[in-house]
Amino acid sequence: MGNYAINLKDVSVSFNGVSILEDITFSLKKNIFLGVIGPNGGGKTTLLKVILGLIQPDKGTVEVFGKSPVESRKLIGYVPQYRSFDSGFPISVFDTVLMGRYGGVFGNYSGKDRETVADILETVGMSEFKDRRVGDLSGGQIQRVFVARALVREPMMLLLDEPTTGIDLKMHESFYELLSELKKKMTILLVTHDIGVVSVYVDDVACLNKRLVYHESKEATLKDIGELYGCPIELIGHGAIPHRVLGRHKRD
Amino acid sequence: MGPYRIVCWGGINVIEILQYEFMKNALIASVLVSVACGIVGTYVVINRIVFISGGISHAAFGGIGLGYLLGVNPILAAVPFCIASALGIGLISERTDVSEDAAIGVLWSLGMAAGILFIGLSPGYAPNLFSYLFGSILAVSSFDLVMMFFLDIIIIVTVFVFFREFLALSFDKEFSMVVGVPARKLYLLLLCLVALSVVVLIKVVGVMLVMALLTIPAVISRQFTYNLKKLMFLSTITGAIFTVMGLWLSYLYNLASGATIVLVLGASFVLSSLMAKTR
Repeated sequence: MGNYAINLKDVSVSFNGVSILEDITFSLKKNIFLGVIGPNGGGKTTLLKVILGLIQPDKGTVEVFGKSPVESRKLIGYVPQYRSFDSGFPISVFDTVLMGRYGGVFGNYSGKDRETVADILETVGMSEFKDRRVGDLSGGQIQRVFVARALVREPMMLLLDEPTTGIDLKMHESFYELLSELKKKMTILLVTHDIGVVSVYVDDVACLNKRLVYHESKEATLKDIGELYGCPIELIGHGAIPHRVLGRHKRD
Repeated sequence: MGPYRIVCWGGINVIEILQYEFMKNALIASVLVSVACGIVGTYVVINRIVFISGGISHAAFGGIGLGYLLGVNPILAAVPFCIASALGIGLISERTDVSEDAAIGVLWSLGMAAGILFIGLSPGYAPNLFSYLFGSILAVSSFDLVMMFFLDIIIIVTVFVFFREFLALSFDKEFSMVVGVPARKLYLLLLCLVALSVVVLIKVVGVMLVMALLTIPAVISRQFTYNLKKLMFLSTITGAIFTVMGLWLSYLYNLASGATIVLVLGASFVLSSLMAKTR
């Protein structure tokens, strides 16, 4: 099992009797860029939290790099949805990213921590903004800061939750270009409802709506998505040839 | 003209009134209060837990009443009440289906009710009751000062030790847990610090007005810096200046001290907002 970043087997999660995830079984190979797509309320964020060990599944087993999620947390860089943040919060870009280097109580950030932060800010193209207040940045810039905060942990896997929500379309492309660079070095799991962009940049696609269906070939997915959801799906591709496909499927 | 103006302002001789014990105590209390406000108030504002601090301060009234009934120092008796209500609000909203604002409302009114009942059961008349509701900085005793001093020390040391953790969990609790911050426990610790600062503040502004001192200095200062350490420092200075100013005005015009301090803070907030806007 050394080739896998994530192994989920029969994982089910429910809150107050409402089922969120049902019998999720899938394995994610190392150094694959997986896009998980699904409607709002389909359990995408919950899936990420299960992988991070923030939510205990009702049943099933979760392995991350062969260990329990909590044990493997230090190998994971997490980029949460950015709406969960107060734009007036008094903190600079540098200090935000530095939090990613947190290593335990009763310590302090070292010179190496600060160097790593400076390097990663360079990588994501945010060096010139390091002394700005995070809340003063644009959505796309904040997202880069949050990616940097995940990357300074020098993770083996990156988990991204709806990273393009609240970012203008112009910024999408450069953001995904950044992820394309990163996928050379690590496993990436991205959850989104932005199906079009996912189809261009990712290796594999999984569809999630309580249940998860894994597609190793993303092309096959495009025509299947509508059926998997059982609801109308709008597809917008951002490739070299822009295209638009409207699928309308009913399933009992 | 120069030296005379410093010594004699508003027709009162500064040197002379500082010879009064109660005035000296009141000035020291202003500074001690500002330290708690500056540091903990900053966390209260950035965590948006102003109404948790309100709940804790009103619940403290139960402790004050119990203190009266048992014949111990009411402020001392308020300490366990404040801590218990802080932990109560934190744990109830985390572990049960009861939302945070409901937990606040319940403890807020329960504390006040218990206080009124206890005071009613106490023999004789409780003449200082009003001062615990609305504060009386001129009645601060030396014992109160010593207690406020030690509570300030506890607050400063705790924040010094857990500065990175408090910042991380205030900014993004979930992420802080992922990187290994024991966020749930430390959030409860932060609420305990709020409880302790409420205790520091009760004597000066009373349970009804505590919220003003915990929020206004930090809200004013927040317009001028986004570095957390500077923000705490600036809030402390702001708090000290306006508390002393309020104290001064209340002395000059024979007004209720707690209310005057709060109104001075409120006016400064309006002025500073206008200043920040026109910058």
